[in-house]
Amino acid sequence: MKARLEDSLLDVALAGFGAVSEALYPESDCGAPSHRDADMVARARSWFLTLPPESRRLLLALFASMELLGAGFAPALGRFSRLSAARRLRVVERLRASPIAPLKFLGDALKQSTSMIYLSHPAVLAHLGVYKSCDHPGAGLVPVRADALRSAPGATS
Amino acid sequence: MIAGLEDVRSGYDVDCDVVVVGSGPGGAVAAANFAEAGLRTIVVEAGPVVRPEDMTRAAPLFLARYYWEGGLRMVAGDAPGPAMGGRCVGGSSVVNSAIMLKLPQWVREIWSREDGLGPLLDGAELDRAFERVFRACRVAPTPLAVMGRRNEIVQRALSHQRVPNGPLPRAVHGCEGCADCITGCHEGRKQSVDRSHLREPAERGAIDVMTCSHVDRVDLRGGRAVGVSGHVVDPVTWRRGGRFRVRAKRVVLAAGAAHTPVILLRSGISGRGLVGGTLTAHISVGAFAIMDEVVDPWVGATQGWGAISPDIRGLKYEALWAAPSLIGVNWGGVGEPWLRELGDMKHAAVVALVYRANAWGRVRVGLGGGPRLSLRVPTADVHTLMRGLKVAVDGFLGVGARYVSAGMTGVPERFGTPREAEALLDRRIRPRQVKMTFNHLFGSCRISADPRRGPVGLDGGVRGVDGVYVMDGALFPSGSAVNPQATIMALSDVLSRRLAGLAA
Repeated sequence: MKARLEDSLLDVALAGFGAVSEALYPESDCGAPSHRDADMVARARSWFLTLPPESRRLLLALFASMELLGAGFAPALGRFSRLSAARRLRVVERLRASPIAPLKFLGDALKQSTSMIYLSHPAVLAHLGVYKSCDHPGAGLVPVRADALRSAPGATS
Repeated sequence: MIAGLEDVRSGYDVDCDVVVVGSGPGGAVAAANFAEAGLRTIVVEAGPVVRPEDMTRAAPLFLARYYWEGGLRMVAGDAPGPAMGGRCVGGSSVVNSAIMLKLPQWVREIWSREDGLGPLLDGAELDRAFERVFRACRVAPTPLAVMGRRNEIVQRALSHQRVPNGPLPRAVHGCEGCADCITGCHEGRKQSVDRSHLREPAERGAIDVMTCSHVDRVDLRGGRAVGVSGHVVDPVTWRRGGRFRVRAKRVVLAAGAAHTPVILLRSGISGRGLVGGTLTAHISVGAFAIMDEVVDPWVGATQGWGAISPDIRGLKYEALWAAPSLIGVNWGGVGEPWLRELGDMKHAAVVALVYRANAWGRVRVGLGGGPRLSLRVPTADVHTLMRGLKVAVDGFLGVGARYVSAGMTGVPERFGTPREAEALLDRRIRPRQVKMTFNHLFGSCRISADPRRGPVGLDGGVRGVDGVYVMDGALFPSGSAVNPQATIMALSDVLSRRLAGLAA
């Protein structure tokens, strides 16, 4: 029973995560990968399931309440994921700009947690131009240039 | 021996002379000293060993596995912010930037004056402890060869403002400048305490390290410690394993400023309300500069360059980098405009400001039994921090930054000129407008000669019980003004050598 409830919460939270991601990381002509390119929902699922239970529940509650709360207060609005992407973006922008501390905190948490997932995808790192001076077990995530430090000037104070 | 999950999964019941709870900087030094004195020593660590093959540059996954609360721990209060700490063998020394600075003389004097720590701090004993710690951790200034452009720009910006600066001394030997400190040094160049203090005695059997073991409480009988008990947790599935008990007449708590008081409180030891009641922290903010030139900030030592402010006592500047998925989460706005700005990241240089604020709060036992942290940050201290931030912003602008951002609300999102940055000096700025972090926590079990100020006496012993000691950052009477690892290790060295009867 408990496991089924947790699975349902995960599904709703991932719907909320996907809805926020689609609004914040849209298709664009600037060359940046979109939410789809960055495989946001599948990677969020993996992240959620890696987190310790207390932190996982906190994040699931964050995204599940984002997905459902609008419908709870105003049934005409429906679930967050049913709003247009432009409207979802405005909601997050308004939350982040809110003078009410808990709402601002909520908006920042949505942006920060989705950014963590977006900015760790290899395609996004490639778009940023990230490379490293040495190898790492995370090989494949970013390219390694052995001469990276030699080509950078050293500090000279 | 280092006992992994399979060795401990079903639980255990063992005896020793001293049990050390926590394998971070304080616990590792203490355990090494007890072993040197010939005491049978067991270290109980909540986290697992981080092997090079466990490390990943996918920062969210690394944090989820090896940081407390998956890297999402928050400090509540008037300026809520994250407080990250390592949860693995070696503790935070495995996941920090390895900066090692001695406790400043002026802080020593405050601690001696206010809490009577003269017998610990005034002689040569603490200096010798610092020397031992620095030697064991191979501390040296960051070599110029691994600075990269990001550290160099911070150096230029600080010099522009006439702030004396230099390479930061770090516990790293043979740094390769990969800027991966926060997700683990896979080549083992960082001299984290699992490497510098635990490995050798564990290999020769002088110390046993029991991993994946969460201590629930100190076991007491008639006001005396008789050991600790707790439960095993699988670090991958988070499922509970068996229960464990470690029987010992001496219990040394070194679980950090968040967990040490919680273990005491769960054991019914409140120190007349003082345990957990004097939490303090350094407050930190960052300034993000976007330069015209390509910086490639992902290359070069994570925190290679820094400065102690000559004008603001207790303020430190340090160059900073971390994975984009950590450092970029507060970057700019949202949506397509933000995606367009992402290309600027290769032009970024970042300086972090760390300030010994007069911020005080409390550690309580949370609903799940873990720590619940809260702090009040005085507005006046935030204004002082903003003065320091203005210096950093002006420095970046003075060496050609296109703009600098501090990620704050209520002030312009970007400063393009020093005049615009004067908004930082607005006396109406309030703590909640500033995106602060609290990665240096201390003071939750203060050491003091005065029993009204701290629950821990000058021998490190918790008052009111026999055989329970604290040897970590929870001891600090107030902020150390510099990165605390070296001071945690040196204080632990002094206290544990005295307890073990070793020559100081």
